[in-house]
Amino acid sequence: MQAPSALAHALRRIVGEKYVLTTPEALLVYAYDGSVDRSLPGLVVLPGSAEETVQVVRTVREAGWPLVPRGAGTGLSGGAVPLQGAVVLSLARLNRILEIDPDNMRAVVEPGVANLDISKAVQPYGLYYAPDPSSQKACTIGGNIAENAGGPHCLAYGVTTNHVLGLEVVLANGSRVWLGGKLQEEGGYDLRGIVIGSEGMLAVVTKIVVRLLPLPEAVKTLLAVFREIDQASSAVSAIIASGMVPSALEMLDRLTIEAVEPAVHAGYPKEAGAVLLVEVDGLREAVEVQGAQVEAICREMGAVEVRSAENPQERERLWAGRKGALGALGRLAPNYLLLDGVVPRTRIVEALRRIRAISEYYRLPIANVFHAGDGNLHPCILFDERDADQLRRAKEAGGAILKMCVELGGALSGEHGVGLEKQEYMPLYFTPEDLQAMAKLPQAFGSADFLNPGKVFPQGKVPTAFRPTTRLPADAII
Amino acid sequence: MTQPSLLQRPTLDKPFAGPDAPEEKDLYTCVHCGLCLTSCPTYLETGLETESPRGRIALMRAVYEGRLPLSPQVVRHWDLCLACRACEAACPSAVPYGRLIERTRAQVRRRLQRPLRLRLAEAVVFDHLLPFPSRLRTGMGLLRLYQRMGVQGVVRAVRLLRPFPTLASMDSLMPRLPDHFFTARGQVYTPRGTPRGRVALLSGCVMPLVHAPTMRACVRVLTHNGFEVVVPREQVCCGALHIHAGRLDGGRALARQNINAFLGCQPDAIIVASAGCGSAMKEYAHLLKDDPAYADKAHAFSQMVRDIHEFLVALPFTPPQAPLNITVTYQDPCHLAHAQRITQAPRRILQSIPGVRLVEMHNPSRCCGAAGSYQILQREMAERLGQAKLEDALSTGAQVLATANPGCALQLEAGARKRGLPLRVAYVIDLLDEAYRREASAPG
Amino acid sequence: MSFAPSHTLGLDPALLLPPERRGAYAVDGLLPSLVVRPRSVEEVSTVLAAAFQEGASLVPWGGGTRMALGAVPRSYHLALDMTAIAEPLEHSPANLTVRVGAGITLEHLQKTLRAHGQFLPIDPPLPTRATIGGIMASSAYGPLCAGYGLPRDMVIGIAVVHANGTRTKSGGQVVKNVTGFEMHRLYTGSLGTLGVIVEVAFKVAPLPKEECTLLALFPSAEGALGAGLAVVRAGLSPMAVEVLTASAWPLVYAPTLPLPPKDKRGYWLLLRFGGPPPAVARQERDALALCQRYGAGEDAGEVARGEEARALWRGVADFGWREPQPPLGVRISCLPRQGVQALALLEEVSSVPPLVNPAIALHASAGVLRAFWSGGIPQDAIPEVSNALRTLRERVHALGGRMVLERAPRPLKDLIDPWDVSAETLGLQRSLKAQFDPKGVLNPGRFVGGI
Repeated sequence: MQAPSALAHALRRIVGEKYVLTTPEALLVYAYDGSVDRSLPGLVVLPGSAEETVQVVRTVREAGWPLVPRGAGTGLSGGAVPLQGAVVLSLARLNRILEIDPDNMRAVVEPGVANLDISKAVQPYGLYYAPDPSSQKACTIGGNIAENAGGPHCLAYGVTTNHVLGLEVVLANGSRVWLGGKLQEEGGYDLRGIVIGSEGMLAVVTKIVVRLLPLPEAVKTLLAVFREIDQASSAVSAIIASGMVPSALEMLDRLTIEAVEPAVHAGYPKEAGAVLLVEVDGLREAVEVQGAQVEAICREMGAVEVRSAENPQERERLWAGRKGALGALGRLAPNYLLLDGVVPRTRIVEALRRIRAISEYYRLPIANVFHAGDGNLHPCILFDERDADQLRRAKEAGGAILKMCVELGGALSGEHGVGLEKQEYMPLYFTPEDLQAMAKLPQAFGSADFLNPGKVFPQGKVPTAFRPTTRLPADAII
Repeated sequence: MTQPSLLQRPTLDKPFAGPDAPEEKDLYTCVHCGLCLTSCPTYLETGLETESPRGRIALMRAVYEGRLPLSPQVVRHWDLCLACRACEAACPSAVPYGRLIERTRAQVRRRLQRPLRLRLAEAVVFDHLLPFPSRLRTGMGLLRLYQRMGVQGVVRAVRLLRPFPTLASMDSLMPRLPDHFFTARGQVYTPRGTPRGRVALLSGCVMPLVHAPTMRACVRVLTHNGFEVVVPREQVCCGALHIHAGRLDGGRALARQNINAFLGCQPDAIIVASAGCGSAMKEYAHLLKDDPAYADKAHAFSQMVRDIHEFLVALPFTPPQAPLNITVTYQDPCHLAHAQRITQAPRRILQSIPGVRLVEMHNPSRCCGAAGSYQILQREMAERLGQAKLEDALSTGAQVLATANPGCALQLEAGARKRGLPLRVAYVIDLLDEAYRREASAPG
Repeated sequence: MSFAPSHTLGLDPALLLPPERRGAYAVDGLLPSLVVRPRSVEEVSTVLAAAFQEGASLVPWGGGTRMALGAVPRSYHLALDMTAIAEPLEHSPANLTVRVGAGITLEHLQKTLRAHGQFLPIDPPLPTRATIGGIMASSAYGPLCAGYGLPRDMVIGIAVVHANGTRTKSGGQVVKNVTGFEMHRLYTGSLGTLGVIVEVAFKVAPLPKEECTLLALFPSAEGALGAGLAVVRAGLSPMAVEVLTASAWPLVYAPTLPLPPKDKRGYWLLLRFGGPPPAVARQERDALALCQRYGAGEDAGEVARGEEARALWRGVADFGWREPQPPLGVRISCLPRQGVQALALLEEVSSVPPLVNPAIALHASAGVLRAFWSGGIPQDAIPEVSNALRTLRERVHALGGRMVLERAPRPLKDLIDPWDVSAETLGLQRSLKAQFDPKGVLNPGRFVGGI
């Protein structure tokens, strides 16, 4: 392994003096992402073009250092945290929208472009980019690809992989190739499909072709208040079973409502045991019919109140409680632990019951605010880390919830990714053979032990998932 | 290769201490989610985490915990912060970033020897000029003389100030000074029509000198709407520049003087036309919360402070009748949009003027680079941001770039002048006043 | 490698089909030595392990509808008939998901789903024969790709048996899942060269409350395509947007169908809409207006509903695949707007006999054209046809597109690569193959780049 100073020197010749960071204060701010884990990089390099990225990858590879690609660092599972003193390759400077092709409803962008900026740029053409992770103002499309990011509206429109057609990537050997492209489908293996969601372990993305959709002409948001959470869960099933797929379908439980109301003043009645937020969009005629249908189903399932909003200001008010929920929960206890396990939508009632039992057994409050439409739970275990016993119980409760998700036919992570946080829990879900098959990918890409080493696969360590955090990113729709 | 002490073991003295240290509670409110990144002008310009709000807080925390020494290298990153507080509006956890950076700067001033040149310049500005309206006026009077006698033209032509970058940038920012300054002499202006109340107007330090006509416009607009306007004689600079520079005690002294001056004339509201001053004055309550003699008064004072646009729209004001027939774009001053969260009121005023076509920029609320003394001390970044703002404004096709803060107005005027752009920079209140006056002079 | 048909790899005789059945398992004229029909995933695993041990090459078979796809096998010992893997068939209507054994036919699956008002929105040719495993392995789709995407967009989990008999899975039965790498997307479209798909989990869709199909005749391809794309841009969310040349109709539907008048020349645009009734009425109205704006004749908008429309779309999905199958077919992918240029290229090449008068259909919004030539190709015309196709492919490349042979006589396949992928990723694709099938026993030679 080459000495840090020699590597820094070589990299400076590629990207310029300003864009190789080696000082302690610079390394320190690249040691974290949006999750709880931290680890210092060996150095940080910020190429300004795809060509420079190629040279950086080659140089770092030849120097024998591991490399971790990074977007905005908003991830919630430690995907961008550099292990083994790796070089952090920040793609923040590759932030141009290269091409907008409204006729073919595609755009070509660089990985450092913020998710929302794509939609903003194509909005004049009446188009938008559908996946909308809650951090969409800041998170980059490159990071979205690494995590196969979702968002509240992926219920109807699908996640990142459904909207990305092609990737220009730099492989571990420094060659730059297109995987997929502007066409709907390229021949051969779906290399595009496996790089998406590979948590930066296979290749460094330098250009992206995204598919764009026409902006819906109408949007309607409904908020339904229930006395009992089981009623709300049944309403979720009934809405799905009624033959429509709303664009978003979110739920808040009693504990969350109690936390939200004083903080956000969303106007939820005190006696509410659960609140559902449902959004439908599309043609005016469809939105009208489906909106009415949602309202009827909610009332039939026992909703005590249903409100609706059609203009942006009113919609924002209805969403305020949902968006402010996690921020508000952070005020109930000094710490909380947030999981993102997912269960089949048919098992939501049971999952919530079991979370309640786990909460009682471990004597810790657990709040639920989540993407009900696709069964993506977000249980928040509230505790105080200064009490060692509470900390232990919180960790165990977290493990119990993940196990429960798998037992109910679900999975460990619906949208945050495995990263560092859940890697030790992978054997709950996968057999050793499953994991070996996945491990063939970094081998085939030649990126094993080089790109983002030490992630996703269990390392035989104590699970880090349940290391506590003082507070979690409060913004809501995780 | 790795330095574990950076992340874990505190090995250093903890240099943040005392009553004005950043509060631990505030530092730990940040959960490094990163949602602030794209709101930060310096992050957007550089792409560097070190120049982001999250990065700056991480550095504050590291210094606070004794993991990182307080060094000029660290301070550089805090210095590059515009304190525009756009990150506060983006933060889901409600981190009080403005407070953190002010207090951090106070600690830096206390603990770290800054270069002599900087210290001298700061001492002159903060200790000997800003607190004294008369000295400021005299200084500006001399400057006006310098402009009128043609010396400025000569100085600029031969680039006499090139060896003194700070002076040169101050000179380049300086607009043609008005013939008459606006001076706070305790004047009382009588309202038009039935009186609706009595307001006290902050004249401020720089604005009544460089933008005196706008101050007069404020008076006319308020009296037009039926208010008696008092301009308290004993008032001084609001202290915002001191506070932003971490000179909290200097800021407190000014705050106390202003509280005495304004509460003394018992107004219904205290009206501020400068976004930066309004924001600072609304925060007097927090600034003086530990001063037993002033805590209550400061609270009462802050409750009475109103930005002039906020005040007018809440009345509501009388819509002007005469048309202006111009295309206008509005730039949100940071201290109005982010610190005071006022974005709609100035736009409503513009839209109320017949014939005004308001066209939005792509990023109307991104900092223009003025940021108080920043435009003088961090020239390069300020220039980059100013340029970007002007390009954004030009792309709207507007003839007038409207704003609501003297720092922004100076920065944008200077940029437009330097590039010879066909763009007039004006305050929103200037335009409202013009419409009112045109109405008055209209036949019939 | 020597491998005698009498050598049965030590497999349970109950798994073997009698030798006289081998004829039904020909691939490009090659016959397997053995045909194996496992009845469970365990048996699939046993067969693969045994074959791997011996280095015996095998070709997985579903319904056999798309066996014409791909290059000529390098070797072919075993035919692995997967049609007995008929389990599970677990539909969870309230979860809008289904788990299905690879050997189940699409039509069987759809029938199960329809009973609950749902469907899998993939409509490849010949659904009564095509199996789920085969559809996924060959990434087969039809007109519904306009509204719902490709098979890779609907899959949420896959179980495979690898070359050495190891069984693995990825994904699961939840619609949103980022636990581990997305292996199921890798297996989709990999033509069984990385593993044999034994089970697939899909997200499914509710059947629209009401449907309607609009047919409009345009004098030009520009008009038909332009109108189709305008309908999409207008947010009218069509389920399918198909453009057909007049010569496509004979390959589309049975002659008993009354629609449309086959004698009319020109380009047909077929739009399929679904949703709540008031929305469908609006879609129909707005789409008709757009068609007229793009030059469709005033009287050219015809509407089909119910059984008539279903049969029509069945026919369109089967375009080029019903017996008698045309001997030569290509699929061109391009940007949606370039459909017109690609169409022109096809018409241009067709001045060369026997390539005259191709039947052409476009998935217009996806930018996918399919062309079939029904006439026979005489042996002595093969070199000339090969040259013409090569020229066509070059011109398609100049547009930024790709051209794959869907079906071609073997002598033609010997002259022209049926696949068309960028050379720059071939190294990566080969190393993937080497990781998953180091001995190269799965479908050897049939996939891209000789994989």
